[in-house]
Amino acid sequence: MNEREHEVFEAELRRLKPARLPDEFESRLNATPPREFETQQRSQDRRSDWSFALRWLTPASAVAVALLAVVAQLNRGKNSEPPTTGASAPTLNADQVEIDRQLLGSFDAVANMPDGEPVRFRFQQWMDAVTLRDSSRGIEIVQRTPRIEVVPVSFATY
Amino acid sequence: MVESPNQDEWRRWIADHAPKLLLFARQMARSEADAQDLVQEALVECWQRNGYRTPPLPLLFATIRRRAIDLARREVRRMNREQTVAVNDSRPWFDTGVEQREFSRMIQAALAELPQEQREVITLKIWGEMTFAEIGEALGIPANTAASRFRYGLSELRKLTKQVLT
Repeated sequence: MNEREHEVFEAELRRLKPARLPDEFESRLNATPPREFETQQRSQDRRSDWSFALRWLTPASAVAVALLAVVAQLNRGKNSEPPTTGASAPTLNADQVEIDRQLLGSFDAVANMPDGEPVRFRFQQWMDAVTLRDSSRGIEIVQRTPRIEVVPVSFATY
Repeated sequence: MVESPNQDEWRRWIADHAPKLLLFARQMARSEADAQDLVQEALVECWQRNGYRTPPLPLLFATIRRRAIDLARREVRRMNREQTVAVNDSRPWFDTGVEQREFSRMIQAALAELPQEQREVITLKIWGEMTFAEIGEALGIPANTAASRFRYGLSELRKLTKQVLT
Protein backbone atom coordinates (compact mmCIF):
# COMPACT_ATOMS: atom_id res chain seq x y z
CA MET A 1 0.00 0.00 0.00
CA ASN A 2 1.73 3.12 -1.17
CA GLU A 3 1.44 6.58 0.34
CA ARG A 4 -1.19 7.73 -2.12
CA GLU A 5 -3.43 4.71 -1.56
CA HIS A 6 -2.92 5.14 2.14
CA GLU A 7 -4.17 8.73 2.03
CA VAL A 8 -7.14 7.92 -0.18
CA PHE A 9 -8.22 5.07 2.04
CA GLU A 10 -7.82 7.20 5.16
CA ALA A 11 -9.96 9.92 3.57
CA GLU A 12 -12.66 7.36 2.77
CA LEU A 13 -12.67 6.21 6.36
CA ARG A 14 -12.93 9.78 7.60
CA ARG A 15 -16.09 10.24 5.58
CA LEU A 16 -17.74 7.68 7.80
CA LYS A 17 -19.08 9.30 10.94
CA PRO A 18 -19.65 7.50 14.24
CA ALA A 19 -23.28 6.55 14.52
CA ARG A 20 -25.59 8.69 16.60
CA LEU A 21 -26.28 7.40 20.04
CA PRO A 22 -29.25 5.06 20.32
CA ASP A 23 -32.16 7.12 21.57
CA GLU A 24 -32.61 5.25 24.80
CA PHE A 25 -28.90 5.50 25.60
CA GLU A 26 -28.82 9.21 24.79
CA SER A 27 -31.79 9.74 27.07
CA ARG A 28 -30.03 7.81 29.78
CA LEU A 29 -26.91 9.94 29.54
CA ASN A 30 -28.85 13.19 29.26
CA ALA A 31 -31.01 12.35 32.22
CA THR A 32 -28.17 11.82 34.61
CA PRO A 33 -25.67 14.62 34.33
CA PRO A 34 -23.54 15.07 37.42
CA ARG A 35 -24.93 17.71 39.71
CA GLU A 36 -21.76 19.72 39.58
CA PHE A 37 -21.25 19.41 35.86
CA GLU A 38 -19.42 22.26 34.26
CA THR A 39 -17.61 22.39 30.98
CA GLN A 40 -13.88 22.65 30.87
CA GLN A 41 -14.29 25.89 29.03
CA ARG A 42 -16.19 27.42 31.89
CA SER A 43 -13.68 26.04 34.31
CA GLN A 44 -10.83 27.51 32.29
CA ASP A 45 -12.66 30.84 32.15
CA ARG A 46 -13.03 30.72 35.88
CA ARG A 47 -9.36 29.90 36.30
CA SER A 48 -8.38 32.75 34.01
CA ASP A 49 -10.71 35.08 35.95
CA TRP A 50 -8.94 34.06 39.10
CA SER A 51 -5.50 34.52 37.63
CA PHE A 52 -6.56 37.95 36.35
CA ALA A 53 -7.85 38.89 39.79
CA LEU A 54 -4.75 37.52 41.47
CA ARG A 55 -2.57 39.54 39.13
CA TRP A 56 -4.13 42.66 40.66
CA LEU A 57 -4.83 41.38 44.12
CA THR A 58 -1.26 40.41 44.89
CA PRO A 59 0.37 43.84 44.47
CA ALA A 60 -2.73 45.55 45.83
CA SER A 61 -2.54 43.43 48.97
CA ALA A 62 1.14 44.26 49.40
CA VAL A 63 0.40 47.97 49.11
CA ALA A 64 -2.51 47.68 51.54
CA VAL A 65 -0.34 45.87 54.08
CA ALA A 66 2.38 48.49 53.75
CA LEU A 67 -0.16 51.29 54.23
CA LEU A 68 -1.58 49.57 57.29
CA ALA A 69 1.90 49.21 58.73
CA VAL A 70 2.61 52.91 58.19
CA VAL A 71 -0.71 53.96 59.74
CA ALA A 72 -0.14 51.65 62.69
CA GLN A 73 3.35 53.06 63.18
CA LEU A 74 2.01 56.62 63.09
CA ASN A 75 -0.69 55.80 65.61
CA ARG A 76 1.85 54.15 67.88
CA GLY A 77 4.02 57.26 67.67
CA LYS A 78 1.08 59.45 68.63
CA ASN A 79 0.11 57.22 71.50
CA SER A 80 3.64 57.07 72.87
CA GLU A 81 3.99 60.83 73.06
CA PRO A 82 3.78 62.03 76.65
CA PRO A 83 0.51 63.75 77.35
CA THR A 84 0.93 67.45 77.55
CA THR A 85 -2.36 68.13 79.20
CA GLY A 86 -4.77 66.22 81.28
CA ALA A 87 -5.85 65.89 84.84
CA SER A 88 -3.63 62.99 85.65
CA ALA A 89 -0.47 64.39 84.03
CA PRO A 90 1.89 65.90 86.61
CA THR A 91 2.90 69.45 85.78
CA LEU A 92 6.24 71.03 86.65
CA ASN A 93 6.30 74.58 87.97
CA ALA A 94 9.90 75.53 87.45
CA ASP A 95 10.53 78.46 89.73
CA GLN A 96 14.32 78.39 89.13
CA VAL A 97 16.02 77.99 85.76
CA GLU A 98 19.79 77.93 85.36
CA ILE A 99 21.67 77.85 82.08
CA ASP A 100 25.31 76.95 82.24
CA ARG A 101 28.11 76.46 79.74
CA GLN A 102 31.22 74.59 80.63
CA LEU A 103 34.29 74.52 78.38
CA LEU A 104 35.64 71.02 78.38
CA GLY A 105 38.50 71.45 75.94
CA SER A 106 39.99 73.57 73.20
CA PHE A 107 42.61 73.10 70.53
CA ASP A 108 43.75 74.78 67.34
CA ALA A 109 44.48 73.38 63.88
CA VAL A 110 45.94 74.99 60.76
CA ALA A 111 44.75 74.32 57.20
CA ASN A 112 45.49 75.91 53.83
CA MET A 113 42.71 77.44 51.74
CA PRO A 114 42.66 76.70 47.96
CA ASP A 115 44.43 79.97 47.25
CA GLY A 116 47.19 78.91 49.61
CA GLU A 117 46.28 81.23 52.49
CA PRO A 118 46.76 79.49 55.83
CA VAL A 119 43.75 79.49 58.14
CA ARG A 120 43.66 78.55 61.76
CA PHE A 121 40.61 76.75 63.17
CA ARG A 122 39.79 76.74 66.81
CA PHE A 123 37.93 73.71 68.12
CA GLN A 124 36.09 74.09 71.39
CA GLN A 125 34.16 71.40 73.19
CA TRP A 126 31.37 72.67 75.39
CA MET A 127 28.83 71.13 77.71
CA ASP A 128 25.62 73.11 77.86
CA ALA A 129 23.47 72.49 80.92
CA VAL A 130 19.92 73.61 81.70
CA THR A 131 18.66 73.11 85.25
CA LEU A 132 14.96 73.39 86.15
CA ARG A 133 13.92 73.40 89.80
CA ASP A 134 10.42 73.05 91.26
CA SER A 135 11.08 74.02 94.84
CA SER A 136 7.50 73.36 95.94
CA ARG A 137 7.80 69.73 95.02
CA GLY A 138 11.54 69.41 95.48
CA ILE A 139 12.20 68.38 91.88
CA GLU A 140 15.35 69.25 89.98
CA ILE A 141 15.77 68.41 86.29
CA VAL A 142 19.11 68.83 84.59
CA GLN A 143 19.54 68.48 80.85
CA ARG A 144 23.12 68.42 79.54
CA THR A 145 23.99 68.70 75.84
CA PRO A 146 27.54 68.35 74.52
CA ARG A 147 28.48 70.76 71.76
CA ILE A 148 31.52 71.25 69.54
CA GLU A 149 32.26 74.68 68.19
CA VAL A 150 34.63 75.23 65.27
CA VAL A 151 35.68 78.81 64.61
CA PRO A 152 37.98 79.85 61.77
CA VAL A 153 40.43 82.48 62.82
CA SER A 154 42.59 84.28 60.31
CA PHE A 155 46.21 84.67 61.16
CA ALA A 156 45.80 88.41 61.02
CA THR A 157 43.12 88.30 63.68
CA TYR A 158 45.00 85.76 65.65
CA MET B 1 -39.81 24.74 32.51
CA VAL B 2 -36.55 26.36 31.45
CA GLU B 3 -33.55 24.10 31.58
CA SER B 4 -30.46 25.31 33.31
CA PRO B 5 -27.45 26.20 31.14
CA ASN B 6 -25.59 23.27 32.63
CA GLN B 7 -28.14 20.88 31.21
CA ASP B 8 -27.79 22.44 27.76
CA GLU B 9 -24.02 22.27 27.91
CA TRP B 10 -24.20 18.71 29.04
CA ARG B 11 -26.44 17.71 26.14
CA ARG B 12 -24.23 19.50 23.65
CA TRP B 13 -21.18 17.79 25.05
CA ILE B 14 -22.88 14.40 24.87
CA ALA B 15 -23.97 15.01 21.27
CA ASP B 16 -20.44 16.03 20.28
CA HIS B 17 -18.38 13.39 22.00
CA ALA B 18 -20.42 10.43 23.19
CA PRO B 19 -20.74 8.85 19.68
CA LYS B 20 -16.94 8.59 19.48
CA LEU B 21 -16.79 7.06 22.91
CA LEU B 22 -19.49 4.56 22.10
CA LEU B 23 -17.81 3.60 18.82
CA PHE B 24 -14.61 2.92 20.74
CA ALA B 25 -16.43 0.98 23.44
CA ARG B 26 -18.31 -1.11 20.90
CA GLN B 27 -15.04 -2.43 19.61
CA MET B 28 -13.95 -3.59 23.02
CA ALA B 29 -17.19 -4.91 24.47
CA ARG B 30 -18.90 -8.14 23.63
CA SER B 31 -22.35 -6.63 23.48
CA GLU B 32 -24.05 -3.32 22.85
CA ALA B 33 -25.29 -3.24 26.43
CA ASP B 34 -21.76 -3.69 27.74
CA ALA B 35 -20.49 -0.94 25.45
CA GLN B 36 -23.10 1.53 26.68
CA ASP B 37 -22.41 0.64 30.28
CA LEU B 38 -18.69 1.14 29.70
CA VAL B 39 -19.27 4.63 28.33
CA GLN B 40 -21.58 5.69 31.13
CA GLU B 41 -19.42 4.29 33.90
CA ALA B 42 -16.29 5.82 32.39
CA LEU B 43 -18.00 9.21 32.17
CA VAL B 44 -19.02 9.13 35.81
CA GLU B 45 -15.61 7.93 36.96
CA CYS B 46 -13.74 10.53 34.94
CA TRP B 47 -15.92 13.40 36.20
CA GLN B 48 -15.11 12.49 39.73
CA ARG B 49 -11.41 12.09 38.99
CA ASN B 50 -11.37 15.35 37.08
CA GLY B 51 -12.93 17.42 39.87
CA TYR B 52 -16.48 17.29 38.43
CA ARG B 53 -15.43 18.93 35.20
CA THR B 54 -15.69 17.62 31.69
CA PRO B 55 -12.82 15.16 31.45
CA PRO B 56 -10.33 15.26 28.58
CA LEU B 57 -11.00 12.73 25.83
CA PRO B 58 -7.71 10.81 26.25
CA LEU B 59 -8.64 10.16 29.87
CA LEU B 60 -12.10 8.95 28.85
CA PHE B 61 -10.80 6.63 26.16
CA ALA B 62 -8.20 5.25 28.55
CA THR B 63 -10.86 4.65 31.20
CA ILE B 64 -13.19 2.90 28.75
CA ARG B 65 -10.31 0.70 27.67
CA ARG B 66 -9.29 -0.16 31.23
CA ARG B 67 -12.86 -0.95 32.21
CA ALA B 68 -13.33 -3.10 29.11
CA ILE B 69 -10.23 -5.10 29.98
CA ASP B 70 -11.42 -5.52 33.56
CA LEU B 71 -14.82 -6.64 32.31
CA ALA B 72 -13.29 -9.18 29.94
CA ARG B 73 -11.11 -10.57 32.70
CA ARG B 74 -14.10 -11.05 34.92
CA GLU B 75 -15.90 -13.07 32.30
CA VAL B 76 -14.27 -16.42 32.50
CA ARG B 77 -16.31 -17.83 29.68
CA ARG B 78 -14.61 -15.52 27.25
CA MET B 79 -11.46 -17.28 26.19
CA ASN B 80 -10.19 -14.66 23.88
CA ARG B 81 -10.96 -10.99 24.16
CA GLU B 82 -10.20 -10.48 20.49
CA GLN B 83 -13.43 -12.29 19.76
CA THR B 84 -15.50 -10.14 22.05
CA VAL B 85 -16.25 -7.45 19.52
CA ALA B 86 -19.94 -6.91 19.16
CA VAL B 87 -19.66 -7.33 15.42
CA ASN B 88 -22.77 -9.44 15.21
CA ASP B 89 -24.80 -6.77 16.89
CA SER B 90 -27.30 -5.40 14.47
CA ARG B 91 -26.54 -1.79 15.29
CA PRO B 92 -24.44 0.01 12.69
CA TRP B 93 -21.28 1.70 13.98
CA PHE B 94 -21.41 4.52 11.45
CA ASP B 95 -23.92 7.05 10.16
CA THR B 96 -23.81 6.89 6.40
CA GLY B 97 -25.76 7.78 3.33
CA VAL B 98 -27.17 5.13 1.06
CA GLU B 99 -24.07 5.11 -1.15
CA GLN B 100 -21.75 4.49 1.79
CA ARG B 101 -23.87 1.95 3.59
CA GLU B 102 -22.18 -1.07 2.05
CA PHE B 103 -18.72 0.40 2.57
CA SER B 104 -19.46 1.11 6.22
CA ARG B 105 -20.65 -2.47 6.73
CA MET B 106 -17.42 -3.77 5.21
CA ILE B 107 -15.35 -1.52 7.41
CA GLN B 108 -17.29 -2.56 10.49
CA ALA B 109 -16.69 -6.22 9.67
CA ALA B 110 -13.05 -5.68 8.78
CA LEU B 111 -12.37 -3.69 11.91
CA ALA B 112 -13.60 -6.59 13.99
CA GLU B 113 -11.00 -8.79 12.37
CA LEU B 114 -8.09 -6.51 13.18
CA PRO B 115 -5.87 -7.08 16.20
CA GLN B 116 -7.17 -4.93 18.99
CA GLU B 117 -4.01 -2.86 19.30
CA GLN B 118 -4.43 -1.73 15.69
CA ARG B 119 -8.18 -1.37 15.86
CA GLU B 120 -8.11 0.95 18.85
CA VAL B 121 -5.44 3.21 17.34
CA ILE B 122 -7.35 3.50 14.05
CA THR B 123 -10.57 4.28 15.88
CA LEU B 124 -9.00 6.94 18.07
CA LYS B 125 -7.11 8.54 15.17
CA ILE B 126 -9.85 8.64 12.55
CA TRP B 127 -13.10 8.85 14.48
CA GLY B 128 -11.78 10.07 17.82
CA GLU B 129 -9.90 12.85 15.97
CA MET B 130 -6.96 12.55 18.31
CA THR B 131 -3.29 13.18 17.70
CA PHE B 132 -0.76 10.38 18.05
CA ALA B 133 0.48 12.04 21.23
CA GLU B 134 -3.04 11.95 22.70
CA ILE B 135 -3.51 8.37 21.57
CA GLY B 136 -0.24 7.46 23.22
CA GLU B 137 -1.45 9.12 26.40
CA ALA B 138 -4.77 7.27 26.30
CA LEU B 139 -3.25 3.86 25.61
CA GLY B 140 -0.07 4.26 27.62
CA ILE B 141 2.25 3.81 24.64
CA PRO B 142 4.76 6.11 22.90
CA ALA B 143 3.37 8.33 20.14
CA ASN B 144 5.69 6.67 17.60
CA THR B 145 4.31 3.27 18.48
CA ALA B 146 0.79 4.59 18.00
CA ALA B 147 1.78 5.96 14.58
CA SER B 148 3.30 2.68 13.41
CA ARG B 149 0.32 0.68 14.67
CA PHE B 150 -1.91 3.05 12.73
CA ARG B 151 -0.02 2.52 9.48
CA TYR B 152 0.10 -1.25 9.83
CA GLY B 153 -3.53 -1.33 10.89
CA LEU B 154 -4.66 0.79 8.00
CA SER B 155 -2.89 -1.50 5.50
CA GLU B 156 -4.38 -4.53 7.15
CA LEU B 157 -7.84 -2.98 7.20
CA ARG B 158 -7.65 -2.27 3.50
CA LYS B 159 -6.59 -5.83 2.75
CA LEU B 160 -9.47 -7.17 4.81
CA THR B 161 -11.89 -4.85 3.05
CA LYS B 162 -10.72 -6.13 -0.32
CA GLN B 163 -11.18 -9.70 0.86
CA VAL B 164 -14.74 -8.91 1.85
CA LEU B 165 -15.30 -7.45 -1.62
CA THR B 166 -13.96 -10.52 -3.36
